[in-house]
Amino acid sequence: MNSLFQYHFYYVFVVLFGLGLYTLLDSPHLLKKVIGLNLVQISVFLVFVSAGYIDGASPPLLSANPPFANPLPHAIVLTAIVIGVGLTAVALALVLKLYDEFGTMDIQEIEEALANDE
Amino acid sequence: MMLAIELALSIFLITAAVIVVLLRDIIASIATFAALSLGLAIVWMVLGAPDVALTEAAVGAGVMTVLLLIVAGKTQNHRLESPYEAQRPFRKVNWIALSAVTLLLIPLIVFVRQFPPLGDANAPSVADISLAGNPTPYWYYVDGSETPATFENIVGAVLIVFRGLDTFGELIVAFAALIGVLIILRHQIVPFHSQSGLDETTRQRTNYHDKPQPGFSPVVTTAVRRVIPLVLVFGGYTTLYGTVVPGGGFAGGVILGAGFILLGFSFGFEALSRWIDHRVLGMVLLVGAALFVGIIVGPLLFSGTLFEISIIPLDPRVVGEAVELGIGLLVGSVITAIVTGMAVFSNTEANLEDSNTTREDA
Repeated sequence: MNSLFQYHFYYVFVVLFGLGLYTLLDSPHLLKKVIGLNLVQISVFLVFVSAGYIDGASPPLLSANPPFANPLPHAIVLTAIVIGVGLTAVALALVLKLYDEFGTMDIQEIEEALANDE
Repeated sequence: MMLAIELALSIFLITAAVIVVLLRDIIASIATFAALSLGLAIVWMVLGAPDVALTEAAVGAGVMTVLLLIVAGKTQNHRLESPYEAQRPFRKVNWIALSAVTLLLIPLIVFVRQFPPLGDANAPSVADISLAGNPTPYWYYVDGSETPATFENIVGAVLIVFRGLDTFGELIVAFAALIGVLIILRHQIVPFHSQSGLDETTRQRTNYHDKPQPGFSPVVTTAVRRVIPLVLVFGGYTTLYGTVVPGGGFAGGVILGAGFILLGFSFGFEALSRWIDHRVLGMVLLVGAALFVGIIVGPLLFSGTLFEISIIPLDPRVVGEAVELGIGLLVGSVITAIVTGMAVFSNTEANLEDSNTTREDA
């Protein structure tokens, strides 16, 4: 039980990752799949920032008192968040295009329409 | 005390994520996702990462939510997931998918258990000396001896001085995303003025400051009108002072972009595209890119190496702020352009009417 309180954010990572993966597998709605992708992404950020934390650490500013949290994962996550917006935007553009083509957001209906075409 | 806050946040994150996954109404799901992002921003604060928290709050609760809502609004007849089920707020749990995911998670839990405990000061990544006996990169970054004097914010120093090439690549990816969105949607991005059929004089006569368009709540427009100057000032401050306090080009740029998106969301993107010409937006992007590239290439002129910005014979403070400003302008204009491009996307033929009614509701 003790280890639960020393690893809680890592377990949150596992749960969020699983929920994102579950959404990608289960949900037929295209927007929901994009949200699932974002859940997976968020969970990975959580691992990075958690791994850089030291008990009682202050933010990585030279004017603050040491110890500092590890600044390297922060820099990586900062850029990854902005990349994540770009990734989501491209995914959503493809979703819009699919909706325009098939008139539905349901991936199963799109697959049926494709199968009927052949 | 700290542990209690962390546990409460953990429970909040998991609960919110379960609700996001199970809700059938896609708009409710997006709203819950925004709440989850805001909770995550608090987690970043607790973990001593204010730079990440600023960016997450602006992106997760702002830009990402707006992007998802725009697409949800354009596809509003398909708001509910799997409409063939009985009318229930939540989806049925798919036990097959759930067990498959659970199987995948077992190795992940085993993997996570190998980590040093949270906050361990002796963890290899933050220890004084690595297993091989060398000083770790962590100490190289935080002891400040190698950091140019202007960069009191170590994250800013890592982004621009130590790992500048990564930042450069990241900006290229952001730019590529913008180009990708514009190429995917290229045939259907119709500027509003060619849609609405208004001639130039009629458009100029319509004064959006005095008369909100039908469909836009006066409560929202009044509130946004008061808030927007503060948002933009805060975005500018965060961008320029990113070398000294938490923030910097990424957080500030995203806040600036989110400010313009808020404007578009509450007054209509039609009005926004009239206030900010797309050529101006492109120009801002170019200025940002030129500032950033100019300063990373600049040291070559003074027989330095790429990214050795301390060699430039200018006030180092000015140089640091110029790089941050370049990143901020680039990120802000890319985000504004992506969201605006998405919002002016119009469906072809059959769906056109549907999307027009949606825009008024938004």
